[in-house]
This record gives sequence, structure tokens and C-alpha cells, in this order.
Amino acid sequence: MLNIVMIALQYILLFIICFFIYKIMKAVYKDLHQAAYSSDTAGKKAALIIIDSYDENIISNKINFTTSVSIGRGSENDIVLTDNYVSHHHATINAFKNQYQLEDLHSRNCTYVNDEAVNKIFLQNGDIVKIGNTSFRFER
Amino acid sequence: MRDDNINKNIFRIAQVFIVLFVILLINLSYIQIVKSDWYTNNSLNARIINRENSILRGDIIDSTGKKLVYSEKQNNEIKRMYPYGEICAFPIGYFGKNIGSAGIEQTQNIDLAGLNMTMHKLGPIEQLFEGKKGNTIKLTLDVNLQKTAWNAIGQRRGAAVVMDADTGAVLVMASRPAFNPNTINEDWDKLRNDKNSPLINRAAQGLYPPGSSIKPLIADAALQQKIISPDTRINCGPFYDLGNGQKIYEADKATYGNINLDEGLIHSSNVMFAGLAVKLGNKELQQAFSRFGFYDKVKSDFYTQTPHMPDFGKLSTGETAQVGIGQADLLVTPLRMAMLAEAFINQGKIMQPYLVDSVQTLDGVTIRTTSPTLFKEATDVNRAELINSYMADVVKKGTGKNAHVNGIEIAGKTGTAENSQGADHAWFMGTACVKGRNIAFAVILENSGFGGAEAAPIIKQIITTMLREDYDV
Amino acid sequence: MGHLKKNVLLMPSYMLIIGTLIAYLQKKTAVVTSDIIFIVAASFLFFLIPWGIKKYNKNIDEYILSLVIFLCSMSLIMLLRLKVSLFKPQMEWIGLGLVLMLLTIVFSAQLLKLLEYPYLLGLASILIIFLVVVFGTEIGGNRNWIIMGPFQVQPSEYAKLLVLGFLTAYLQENKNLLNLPNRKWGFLYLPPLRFLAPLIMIWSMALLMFVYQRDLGSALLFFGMAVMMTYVATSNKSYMFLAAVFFILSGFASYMAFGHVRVRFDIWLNPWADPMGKAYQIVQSLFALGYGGLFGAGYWHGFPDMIPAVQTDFIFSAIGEEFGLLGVLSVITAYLLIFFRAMKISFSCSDEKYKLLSFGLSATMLLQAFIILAGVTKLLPLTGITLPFISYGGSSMTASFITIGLLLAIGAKEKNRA
Repeated sequence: MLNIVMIALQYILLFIICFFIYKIMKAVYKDLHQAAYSSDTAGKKAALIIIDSYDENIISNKINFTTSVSIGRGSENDIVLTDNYVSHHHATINAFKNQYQLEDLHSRNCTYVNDEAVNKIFLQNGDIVKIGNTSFRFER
Repeated sequence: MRDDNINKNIFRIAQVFIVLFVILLINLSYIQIVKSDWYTNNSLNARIINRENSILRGDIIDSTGKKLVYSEKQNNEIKRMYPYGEICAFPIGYFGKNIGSAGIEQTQNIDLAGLNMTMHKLGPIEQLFEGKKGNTIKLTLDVNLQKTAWNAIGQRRGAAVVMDADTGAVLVMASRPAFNPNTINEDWDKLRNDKNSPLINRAAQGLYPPGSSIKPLIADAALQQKIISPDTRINCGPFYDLGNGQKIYEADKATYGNINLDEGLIHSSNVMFAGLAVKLGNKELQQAFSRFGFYDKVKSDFYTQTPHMPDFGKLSTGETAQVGIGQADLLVTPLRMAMLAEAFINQGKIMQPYLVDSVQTLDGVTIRTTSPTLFKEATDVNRAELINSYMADVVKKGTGKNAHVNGIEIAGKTGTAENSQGADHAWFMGTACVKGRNIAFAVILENSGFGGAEAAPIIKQIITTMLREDYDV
Repeated sequence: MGHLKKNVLLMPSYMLIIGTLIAYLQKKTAVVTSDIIFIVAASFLFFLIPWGIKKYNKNIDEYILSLVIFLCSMSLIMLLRLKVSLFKPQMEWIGLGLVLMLLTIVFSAQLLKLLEYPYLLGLASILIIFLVVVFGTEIGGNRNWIIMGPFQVQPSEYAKLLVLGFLTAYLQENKNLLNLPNRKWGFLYLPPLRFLAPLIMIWSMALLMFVYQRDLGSALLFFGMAVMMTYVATSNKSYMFLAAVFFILSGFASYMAFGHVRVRFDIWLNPWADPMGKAYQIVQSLFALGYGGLFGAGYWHGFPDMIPAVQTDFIFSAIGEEFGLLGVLSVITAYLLIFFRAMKISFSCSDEKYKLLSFGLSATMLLQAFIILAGVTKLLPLTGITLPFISYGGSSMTASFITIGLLLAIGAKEKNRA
């Protein structure tokens, strides 16, 4: 009887050793997976919502993007604003690590974030970006 | 972008590490899975010795149940006892402390140690199946016959093998000089440096030129190739002329006149067999040796040496003639000669020789029994019987007279082998039917002179022992 | 961020408790009451430490910490079995190590400031090596010990950390210079000699240890460390090539010149030439591993005492004998996982110095494990070096804990910043 208990204990000990490593391995893998997943989509999912514009038709439109978006009068931009106050290449928003950076491309009439003229700035959720006559709300 | 460079480099180093650890793991798996049995059973692995403290090592008994080896507790120390000492040193071997082990003690180590390899592979569960004592190994050896052979060899260097011709079971495997397994640890250095090699089992591992005792094989080959028929007569003068001044003489430069194959064997005519070998040619000779298994390894429960064969592709006529009388580069073990003889009494079949009869647990339950297996289908029944009858004539009328025992059909062939170490080796090999049991045997005495005079009487003594009333076959 | 469940964190403590139980059932005299108090305390400590540290600073990498705790439990149960007299001292060393680790984390900012003074670190490590050369005492064939009163210290374990710090700081500051290709020899691009001098010094230091102290393992480790760090910092493969040539040449020269190197090498090539003499250790180690098989003979049911130095250099073989391939696989995986987690920390570092340092610390630990594991399995010639967190020894244990402390501190710092 004692013999069987001993043998069982020895197997349990070996099992615990292997099981512990397995658990940690799984957790580490999960952690990596999560990190990979969030950096692809969840972490890099942002949107600009138009809250005010020269063109009433586009108000409350939502523009989703993940890595970058360019804004300007030129038709090659992702968001084209046919507004005289907007420069040809007005501004871009780029994902940088885990953040989104707005960069004004030396536009004539500047880019405003929360009513302040900016050159380069990291956007926070809910920031109001004003370009020409159009206002966007940044969401992520 | 420098930053990314460092990350990339770190990644590369990590890849190198992964490769290194994969190699490490492959090596570990190789050690722990593939080679596990080998390391566990290695004779230098003292783990088995240490197990003796909890599990007594099993006994080794002979075919009649006499204890040849057992373990005993003496003053809190477990000692391995060998009551027959040197007599059974071969084939039983020894179980040393730091010198490893040998013989049956080594090859049957797992069973003697009570190790259950299947259970051992499954880990701690093995402990559940551990007995108080290892398994008992029952040998086919007969210690009475072994003792007779040992005493008959006397102070000479030599070996004797007797096998059951129908099964291949080894009844006698004596080799002298030997060691005393009881004191092997203390004697080790002396034994290792002894010029007479007392640690070598001459019966299974000693290589010697067979001399004339190879002639039955040549006779078989010549009959098979129809180079000679039983009635053919050949003039056997004092010598066989090889042409370029080389001559092979009869023993004592005798002249036998026109004799047939039977008489050729009776007189052990060198002229006849040198001639037959030359007529057979190298290719046919090689095939004959191959038929009798001289090129095959014996894989058994004891270690054997495979014969050293001449390079038949490159032999000159003179050397071919020498092979016919068992000289040239041909080297064989006594066990092989007994196996050769076995073919002639066992309808042309050679059985796989073996020493372990069965393995029994402490409670007497037999775990496994060796079943005889065929080693080689050497020759056909007719030729075998014919040659065996010729060999019987050798004992009745020829060079083997000294082996004769009244009322017993003994067949044999003597050999007197020239060698580089000095005086000729004396050989005697053959078969007999004792109390209905067919046996095959071979004896060698190193540097002892004539086979008929020296080696044949040893067989006579063994057979006499077998004939004693109390001896039960 | 997934959190480890409580029952996973409890497992190293379970290991200790079951190990003790088996030890007690096997041999009633093996475990005395005071040991049991120690073991209970240790089991609590092993559970509370990762949990408590997590509470103190949530950015600390809990995986690394629990893996270290696992290795320590492994060490303790093996010592309980191999040499019970070393069990309590090892327990104390682990306790001291944990305290040092916590202190390292708390004072990490100050410690990491030392990276601003590379030459100070360099000088300090040279001083330590010099001290060993002058005052070193030979223990177990290696003249790399210094005896201070009741303590025996293996300074090379700490010198390792200083050299790592020096390499980090020096390479980060000078990597652009080191990559200036103004000397071209064949296909090698090398900077002027004066920029190379400190690296050559470290390499020579390794060689000095190798030759004078017979400490082949540390020499190999220092050498590998310097090569890895140089490559990672400069991306210059010419250094790798140069190092390989240097290594082969010095290896060959020492084989020719020194008997003990020759003996070790010959043992490695053919241990079966003298299995009961010179090659006794490695042959016994192979027997132990082979006897273990896949599942092992069972805790307390192998015969690891036959291997000399089993509690230090050969503890891995004892694990292999009693826990089998599965057990050693777990241990190896633990080291690899620590390295991978540390790799993640270095990737997240924005400061190159921290990036280099965290890489260096973890890679050195992994390399150390590899050198000794390859040694006891006859993959490489055997070099006496400890297995981090498992082998018995205070210097090794405390130095390893400081290493982990630095890693955790850097990791927490970077995460905090992000």
C-alpha cells in the first residue's frame, strides 16, 4: 500500500513539474498572441468622425483607418476636402508604435487640435481636429 | 532605424540559441531513449550493483539444478559466491565491482538483477514489480561434465565444448587457464597482465588453425561437387607436388597407396585433401565454408569470435592446398568445430548454440525458455550420414582410436595444427550418441602435439562420465 | 495581459511539499523537524514572492519570476535528496538572493546609472579578476575562489555582471566608431586598433582565466558573452569571424600547451578509453541519464550519488536520472522561456543601453545553462560551471538573482513608460 502511494507521489511530482512548465508556456504564448493581435487590429484601429463641415452631406461620416491617413485638397489624399482653406497636402495621421501622430504638412491655414494650431502631436481619444472648415473627432 | 537593427540582431542570436538547444535536446533524447537500455545494462554501470543492496542478485543453476552462482549476505556485505570457482569461470564469467562483468553474468544481467526493462521504461511504476531477489538463470551446462572436462584438460592450455547436437544446447564449455570469480577484484591486475590470457574464453573466442580436423568439411565439399565419389581411389604417395618445388607431405612421410575417401579420413591423408582442395578451387572452397556458417556471426547468450577466413580471392595454389588440410590463414574456434561436427549427426543441420535454458522467478515461475533455432542448413542428409560413418571409422580404425568407448558409436576427426607459437595444437572434434542423446564436441589443447594422442582421450573421459549409472541424460 | 492563476503559482510550493513527503516516507531520518519548518516557510515564500511583487509593481514580469521560483524549488528538492546537509544553506542562499533581487529592483535607478561610467565598470571587473589571480584558492580543480573568513566566494560570478555592464555602456557609446570601416583587411572591416582595445582586453581576460585559473567554463562564458554583445550592438560580422579565429587559435594553442586542456578534450572525444579513471564523471553522468529514460527512475529512486560533484556541476544529470527526459525537458524549457520573456523586455526598451543590458543578462544566463548542459551530456567538452538557480552555491545563486532583479527592473521601467 505504502509502495503504491510512493509511486503515485513520484508520478504526481513529475506531473506537477511538467504541468507547471506547460501552464507557463501556454500563458506566455497567449500573452504573445494577445500582443500580436492587439498590435494588428485592436491597438491600431482608429476613426475620424466628421462633426462639422462645409458640405452638410458628409457630416457624421466615419472614416476608419489603421496605419495612416492623409488629408488635403488633392485627389490623391485619403480624405479629400474640396475647401479653399485646405492645402493640397494638408496633414497626415500616422500610427507610431501604439499611438497616432498628427503631422501638419506646412499647410497655409494650419491644423488645429482642440482649437490650438499644431505642428506635430499625438492624438488622444476624443480630440477635435479642425482642418479648414471641417472638424473631425478622433476616436480609437 | 538603428534601433531595429539591435532587435534584429537579438533575434538572430535567439535563432542560434534555438538551434543549439534543439541539438542539445536531440542528444538528450538519444541518450535517454535510444541508448537508455545500453547505458542501463552497461557492465560498468554500478547502478545494478547498487541495486543488490535492496534486491538480491539472482542465482545461476546448471541443467540439473546445482547452484553455480548465488548471492549471500556476509557481515552486512553482500557477496557473490561461485562454489565451482575456476571450473565454471567460463562460461559464467564474473560480476566485478569496478571492472564490470563478463560472461553469463553480463549477458543475463537484466534478469539476474531483477530488472524489468519494460516497466523500467515506464518510470517509478517499476518499483511495484520489484521482487526481493532477481531471477534465476538455468543453464544448459552440466556441471559434472564440465568438471570432467576441466580435470581432463589438466594443467594444459586448452578448451572443450560439448553440445546437444539436436538442439545446440551447450553441455560443456571448459577453458583453461581460467580465473577465480570469487577473487576477481583482487586478482584483476595480475590476470590482465598474464601472458596465458586467463580472461579469454578459449572455447568460444580462441582462434586456432583447425589442421586436419577441417577435412570432413573438405570431404563434404568434394562429394557435393562430385570431384570424388565414395568409390574413387586416389594414389596417396608420400607427398603432394605443388609443381614449383613445393610439396605437402603425409604425416611421417607415409605412403598409403590407392585409397578411397573413407580411408583418406582414417589415415588423415594430407595428399588426398590437399589435392581435393586444389581441384575444388577457391570459389568452391569459400562456398563450402559459407554453407557451414563460417562466415556468419553466432548471436547467442554468450560472446563468440567469428572465424578468420583466408582471402579466397587471392590464394595461390599452394595456399589453397594448405586450406584443404586446415592451415594457411584459416582460424577457427573450438565451438565452430563442434558445430561443424554437429551437422554430420544432425541430418546436415547446425543449430544455434545456446547456454541459457530458461529464466525463472523467485517463486519458480518460468518467464522464458530458449527454444532451439536453426543456425545453418549445412549439407544434405545422405552426405552427412556418409561422412559421419567415415568419422566413426576414424575412431574405430584410424587416428581417433583413443576416444573409443566400448559399446558407444563415436565419430571423430583428429587434427594436429601447425602454428607460429611453437608445438602443434592437438584437436579432436566429432559426434557421439550416448544413451540416445546425440552430442557434438570439439577439444583443443594448445601446443600439445598429436590430436589423436592428446585430445581424443578427453572426449573419452567425458563420455565415460555420461555413461555412469547415476548420470541422467 | 493574461495573469497566472493562483494554482499555477502554487505549483513550485507543491513540488517542495510532495518532495518532502516522498523523502520522509522513503527514509524517516532524512527529514528532521527543523527542515520541515524551513520547507513550510519556503513553500509559503515561493507562493508569496511572485504574488507580493506583483502587488508592489504590476509591471514586473510575473512569468520570469515564477520560472525562477520553479528552478529554485527544483534545486531544493534535489539537494534534499542529494545532500541534505546542503539543503538549509541553499535555502538561505535563495532567501538572500530574493532579498538582493528585491533590493536590485528598488534601487534599480541608481544601479543603472552606473552604466554612465563604463570604464569604472571595466576597471572594477579587471580588479576582481586580478584579485582572484593573486589571492585565488583552488577548490575542486578550479582556482577561482576567494576565501573571506567563513565565506567562499566565486568572484567570477559577480565579475560577469560588471563585465556585462561595461560591455553595454562601452558598446552603446562606441558602436558607431566600431563600425567605421577605415581599415579593410581582406573581407574584414575593422576600426582603428584603439577602439578595439577594450574588447580585446575582455577577450584576453577570458583567456587569462582559462589558462591561469583552469576555469574553462567561465572563460567560455565570458568569451561568448563578449562576442554576442559586440555582434548585437554593431551588427558587424567581422567581429564574429575574428572571434572565431581567435577562439580556434587559442583553443588549439592551449591544447598543445596545457596538459589539463588536452586531458579534457581527449576525455570528450573518447570517454570509453578510461571510463573508470579520467572519464569517470562524464561516464557516470551518461549512465545516470540513460538509466532515467523518459519518465525517470522516480524521485529518491535513482543512484545519482555515484556522480562526483553531483550537487553542483552535475545536478542536471541527477534530475535526468530521477525525473527522466520529461523532467530535464521542463528544466530546459524554463531557461528558454526566461530568455524569451527577457527578449520581449529588450524589444520594448527604447533606451539602447537597457536594450543591450537586458539582452546581455538573459543571453549570458542561457549560454551558461547551455555550456554546462552540453558538458554533462557530452555534447561539448566538460567545463566546470554552475547551472543557474539549481546548482548548489551562494555566489552563483546571488549573482543569478541580481541578474533577474535587473531584468525585472528594466522590464517594469519600460512598461511603465509605455
